[in-house]
Amino acid sequence: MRRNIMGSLGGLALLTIVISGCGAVTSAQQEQQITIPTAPPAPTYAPIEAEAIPEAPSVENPNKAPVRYSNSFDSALSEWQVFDIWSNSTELSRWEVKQGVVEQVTGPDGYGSSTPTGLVTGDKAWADYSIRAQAYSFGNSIMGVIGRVNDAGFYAFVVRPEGAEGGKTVSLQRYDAATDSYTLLASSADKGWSNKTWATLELRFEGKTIIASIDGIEVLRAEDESYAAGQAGVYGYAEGNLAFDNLIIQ
Amino acid sequence: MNESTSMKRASVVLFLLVCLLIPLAFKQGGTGVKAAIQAVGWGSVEVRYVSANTNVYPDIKYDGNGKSHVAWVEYGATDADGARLLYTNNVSGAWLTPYEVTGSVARGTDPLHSMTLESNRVHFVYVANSGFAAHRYLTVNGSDITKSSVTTLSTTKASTPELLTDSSGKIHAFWGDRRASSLPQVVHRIWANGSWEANTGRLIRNDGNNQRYIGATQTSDGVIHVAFSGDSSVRYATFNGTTWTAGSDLASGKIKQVSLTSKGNTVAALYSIDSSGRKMYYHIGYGTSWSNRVLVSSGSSFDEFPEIIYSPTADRIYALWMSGVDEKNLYIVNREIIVGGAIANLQYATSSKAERKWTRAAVQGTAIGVIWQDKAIGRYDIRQITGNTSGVAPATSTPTLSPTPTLPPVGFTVARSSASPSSNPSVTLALSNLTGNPDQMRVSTSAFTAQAASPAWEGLNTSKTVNTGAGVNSCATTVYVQLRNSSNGGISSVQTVSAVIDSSLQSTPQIYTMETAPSARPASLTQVQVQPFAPDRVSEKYTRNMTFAYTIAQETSGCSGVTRHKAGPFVVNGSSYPYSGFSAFDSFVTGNDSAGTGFEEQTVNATVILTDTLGNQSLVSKQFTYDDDAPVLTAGGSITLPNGASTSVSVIPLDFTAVVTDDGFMNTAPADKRYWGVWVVATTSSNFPTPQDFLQYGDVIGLEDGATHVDYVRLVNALTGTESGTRHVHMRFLDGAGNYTETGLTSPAITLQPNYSGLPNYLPLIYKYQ
Repeated sequence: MRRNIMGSLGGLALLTIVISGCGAVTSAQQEQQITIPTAPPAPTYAPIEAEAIPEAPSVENPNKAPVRYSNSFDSALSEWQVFDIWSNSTELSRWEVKQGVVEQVTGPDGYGSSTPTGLVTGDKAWADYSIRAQAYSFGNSIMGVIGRVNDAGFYAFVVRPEGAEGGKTVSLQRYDAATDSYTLLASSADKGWSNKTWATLELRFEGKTIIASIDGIEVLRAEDESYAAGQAGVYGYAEGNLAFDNLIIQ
Repeated sequence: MNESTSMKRASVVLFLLVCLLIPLAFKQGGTGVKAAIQAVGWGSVEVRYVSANTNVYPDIKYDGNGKSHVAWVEYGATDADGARLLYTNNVSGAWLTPYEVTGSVARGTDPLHSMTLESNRVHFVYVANSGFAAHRYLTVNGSDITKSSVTTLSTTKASTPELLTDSSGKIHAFWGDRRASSLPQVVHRIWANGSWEANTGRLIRNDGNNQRYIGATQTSDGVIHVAFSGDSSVRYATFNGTTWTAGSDLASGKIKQVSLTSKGNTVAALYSIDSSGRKMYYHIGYGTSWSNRVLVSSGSSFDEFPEIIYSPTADRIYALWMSGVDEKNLYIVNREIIVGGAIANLQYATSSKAERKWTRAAVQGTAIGVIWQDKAIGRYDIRQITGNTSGVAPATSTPTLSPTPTLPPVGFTVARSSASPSSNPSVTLALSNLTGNPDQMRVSTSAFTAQAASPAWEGLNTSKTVNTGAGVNSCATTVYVQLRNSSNGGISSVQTVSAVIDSSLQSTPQIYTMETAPSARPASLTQVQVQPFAPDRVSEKYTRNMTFAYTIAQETSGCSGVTRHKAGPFVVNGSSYPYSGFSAFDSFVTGNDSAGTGFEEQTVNATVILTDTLGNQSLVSKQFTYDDDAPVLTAGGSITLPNGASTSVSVIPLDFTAVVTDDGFMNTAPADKRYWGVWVVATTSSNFPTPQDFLQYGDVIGLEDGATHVDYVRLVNALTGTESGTRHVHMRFLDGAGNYTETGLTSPAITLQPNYSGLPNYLPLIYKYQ
């Protein structure tokens, strides 16, 4: 008997739903054209596993020179500034400290862009110095270190992996803010780096001489007198998938 | 549950389903009952273009015959290189080899061009390398394509251009322009009857800045509608053919990108907002009357790059975008919409773990073409998928393009007419077999790519002389040459010519005293001719020999090579290099020493001159002091043992006192600094050893001026044997030339204890493999 009562209550509830549903026919017919029904829920997606970046190998101080600045990126980037090249956005590309490295996360509007971005620190009066950092790419088209960053431009040591545009190359470039363009100072093929491998990049300024090294081996040298001093930092495309660690400026 | 109950419940469920479906059917109809939503049939992904470089920002349009027209930007190999705008179509069935619309395109974080069709013309508005907006159109007659001249549309930095062809054939161009603000504002200019309107364009709404991502459409009443992102809003305006009227903002928030389409007099908008993730919204309206917005993306996905299009054939709106998580664009999704009616569930056109961006879409008949840039191969290429609104997946319509980039139409052959090897750094080129009517050239001694922005172009000179500046540090040099036809923009590949330029000696000889030369210590004692048993490896400034040693390396690879040399007064011909030898000083005074024995102490010069095959020469000279007189130890000095007379370590320190004087140049030093170092040897006896014992078993130890302490003296050598017991350390004093005192000092007896230890020795670990 109890079961019958419960069955009757269930049937009543069902009937109410049915009547309500049929009543919606009249309501729908009376809607204005620009009234849009709520969209059905869209499915969600399984999260993608984050890239596991191996720990950077330990570094020594081969120059045995006084250290102007060093950072192993274990804390916030309060001493650093981000800049973007060829960006129309009022936002800046995202660089973040993650698990002991600094990572280029994404471009200025929240998605990647094949345009340069840099993260710089230091004194604009720095003239002759070296900047060395360990770099690790897991998908960025380039990675590099920059120096003598000032309002008029900067110098960049850029390396590309096999498979990137232009092939596996290293280049020394000068960016001029007045013309918003780059000038190639020196380049070489087949001396780039491999993805997902830590590489130590170094850019050294000795007067007008600019020297670039990978893993302690000089790969490029150029002379240019456009910029005598400026800040230093790390560099890549605003495509994400790029990390740096153990930066030393001497 | 019995059968009766089951039947009753089945009936109720059936009734419920009917009542639920009835209103849905009416909703789909909007103003009447229409066909139900049906999913688009999607074909497979085709690679539209891939090259060695990055390809970005594709655009797609269909012509009236249902043929696709596609354009995109290909970046040069480095940031120092330019970019070019490429175009292709499948008008004749197969895809056209990509055609360069212009080689002067900027790079940027936002789309750099837009394309639209006008009869057999394909119009492009793009951001030129100068940063300004520019226009060019192609006239397409089959495979024959001609370019128009370029019209510069802006005098300030431009961004995110957009083109719309209206129902009358006019083309409406929009772009971000900075004429009235330091940040971009949208400007509008009309192309009609083959030319641009006289004015330079009009600001749509001069009430804000950072305006970009422009969507445009035309409604049936002829009104042009635009919406764009600006000042944290979706700005909206209408154009009646004469003036723009600002409408209400369609939305506010952290607006990203906007797309518009229309059916009849209803405008539909799709835009993305950054609000706790990137979300996609849709709504419809006109003027000031707009519906509430509808969230069409899921709650947790990252949704960007909206594209909304209306298909008259299907009478549907298709909202497409990239959707993913963790900022990875994984899916191209589609929601099919009946205007004012139902919105279908998300449909996945294609999915990939590769990064994808910048969706653009076009419709014609039952076809929907969607194009995007895709990073599946590690750099961006251009990919396309085609859908069929009738639900049948289309087959791949035309062959995929060959990935080979466009070949330059200009060609030539380059050779060198100047000599090689040569000491003249100028290289003269000889250009021949010119094709494609080139009238300009550019040359450089640094490599550059065909699309590079530099070096600068100059007038063609088929016998140009290039000063390479080579030959100083290295000899092999390469001159890079490229030709261009300035009238049609055609360029050649970059060709090279090599030369050996050797304008100086690339080898520097090394000069040593005999005592410090790499081969100084004779292999056999019987070879010692002067100062028998005197030690080597002393000062680099003094010598007791009348000759000097030198080495010569061969020149850098590729240079002409050292062919002869002169060392001191002697010329050496016909030797091979690298070379090592010894020779006499330039001059030497052989008179008897007025203040000692042997020859006069004197300054001597060692000179080596190299000559290479091309006659380049280098000269290196070094000055030494000749001194063959031994220093003299005044009687009375002593050795003391700071660690005591008993030791369990075979290496000990010593203290000593001594007065040593030397003749010649050393006599100018203070009395306590008249020796260069000491020569020490340990024996088991207190008898002072012979120089030969010092030479065979002793050590030469250089000391600082005035030092009276030696850090390490060995108590064990081949003369003493390894047994413990009594030791004496004997010491002679040396001048810089290696001359030693006749007498010396002997230490008190030292007891080397049994089981003594010494300096650590590390021996290689050797495995014997079985």
